[in-house]
Amino acid sequence: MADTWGIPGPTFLALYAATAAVVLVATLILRSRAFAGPERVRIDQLTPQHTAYLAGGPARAVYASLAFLRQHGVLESESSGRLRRTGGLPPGASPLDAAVLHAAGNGVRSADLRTDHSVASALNTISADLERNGLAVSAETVARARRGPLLLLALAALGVVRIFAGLSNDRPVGFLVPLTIVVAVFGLILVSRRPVRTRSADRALADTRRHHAHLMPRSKPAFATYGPAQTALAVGLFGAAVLWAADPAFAGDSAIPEEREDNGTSGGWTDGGSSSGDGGSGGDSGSSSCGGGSSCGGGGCGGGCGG
Amino acid sequence: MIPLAERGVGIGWRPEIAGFVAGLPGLRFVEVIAESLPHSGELPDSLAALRAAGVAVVPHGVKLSLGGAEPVDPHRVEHLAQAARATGAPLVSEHIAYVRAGGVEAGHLLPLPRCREAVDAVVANVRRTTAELDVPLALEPIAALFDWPDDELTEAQFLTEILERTGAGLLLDIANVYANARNRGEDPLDLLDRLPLERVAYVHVAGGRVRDGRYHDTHTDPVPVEVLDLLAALCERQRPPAVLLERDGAYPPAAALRAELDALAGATGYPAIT
Repeated sequence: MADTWGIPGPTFLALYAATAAVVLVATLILRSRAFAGPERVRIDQLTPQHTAYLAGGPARAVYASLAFLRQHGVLESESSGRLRRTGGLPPGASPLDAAVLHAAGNGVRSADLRTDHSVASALNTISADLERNGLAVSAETVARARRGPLLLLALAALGVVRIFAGLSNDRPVGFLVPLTIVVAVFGLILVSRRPVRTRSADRALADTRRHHAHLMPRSKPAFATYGPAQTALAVGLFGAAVLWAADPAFAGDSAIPEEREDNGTSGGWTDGGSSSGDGGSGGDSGSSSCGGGSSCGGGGCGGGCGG
Repeated sequence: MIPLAERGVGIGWRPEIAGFVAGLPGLRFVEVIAESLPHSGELPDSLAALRAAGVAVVPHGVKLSLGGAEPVDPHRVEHLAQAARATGAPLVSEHIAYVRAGGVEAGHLLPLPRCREAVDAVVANVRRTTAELDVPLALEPIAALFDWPDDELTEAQFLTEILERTGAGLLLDIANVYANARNRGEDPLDLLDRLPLERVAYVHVAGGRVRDGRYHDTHTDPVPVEVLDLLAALCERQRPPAVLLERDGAYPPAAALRAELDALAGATGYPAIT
């Protein structure tokens, strides 16, 4: 009986394993470099809104602005959720603060702030700043870093084709099946992992959280004492829970989501609005995508072990 | 040796304002509520940082109930001793008051009748406490919004006798002195002149407000100028080694807190810590 595709099983297996190993190692090295960020980054000179964006995405940056403006007493929220401007732009305001206050002057709802033109533009500027400083991972970097994992998935597909070809050719596929599953699992995990921050930024953020631990909602910080800028920073570092702690009436009227204090242990944030739309795996940046991998593995196993 | 000698102006450390306290450049002394410290002896990070920077940390007990008729709870005494070790404290302080009786918690510091029996009870409890402590104890008389009908001793006699028999220091709350005198229509200076001022270990200063004609020592309002004047009058007689701003809520903007600390420095002649 002829070898499948004219390549003997053991030869194919060796070539396949070697190729997969090379691609996997190269992918891990390249991704590690791509997401490392500069050796030393500083985030203590960023505006609170930049820190908020870095830690919790555009939604949190807007919450930081709301906290800053609210603590300055230039913003009110009606029970309908519509914002009202009650004062001028305070000193030390960031461009995002100015855009949010302007939108508030137009009676925008808190929930709709991000769709306001000038707010969106200020958010884009922050995002670009973060990428330029090596803190946030750019879309291009993510796209480049996906090439390796996509190659792994292509290899897995090749493995599946070979398994079926081998089965119909009545050849043993007992070694190829688990190998293909392993390649598929690695491919799926890596393709779905899209960090929003560089590792340098993660470290800097953890340092900043430690340094500002007194701003955690659980220590019931006296936000009136710390002032508007520190309150905005607290929102940035520890999330919307701070807004609830500092000003529950405003947070309620503005329909700010009641999230738990963010202590930096959960992965990154996801931006549902700007998903690039390239296939299956949504915007999951966490590490819990093994479910997808194992379901695929189960399918492959069903085909392989049956023959 | 005077435990807090020349420590000057300090502030009550509270988690709510830990970041503000940490940012005071000239700070040399804070007080922490002893019962807020964990029994494990592990200090909150920012308190540990202050201690490492050479700031004296004084545990201030509020629940020992030294004035209770029954003996102090050994577990509470042990916790106070542990708090003193954990903070490396030069001394600890508690109130001359009772907070529970017959197993019922009052939830407040309650004043004692000023009689010989009460003196004996306090002295016995202070001795039980100091036997377990490695550092000196300072006793703080509390604000009394009322007097017991059968008081045998004056406030000054009562305090002096307790301090002399126990060897404890005096933690004088100057806002209390003001509040008591004002609410009784007396001159606060009379009490100052009759107290053993050389025994003052440190002084508490807090804010308050007048409500329904009576002055309430709230710890959540600004320090009135009358209290600052009384502090200055105390310093003319005998300047205390250290003076502490107690603020327990409704925390104002940082600038207002700094201004109060500066006012304490101004009244005592100690260097500003802001």
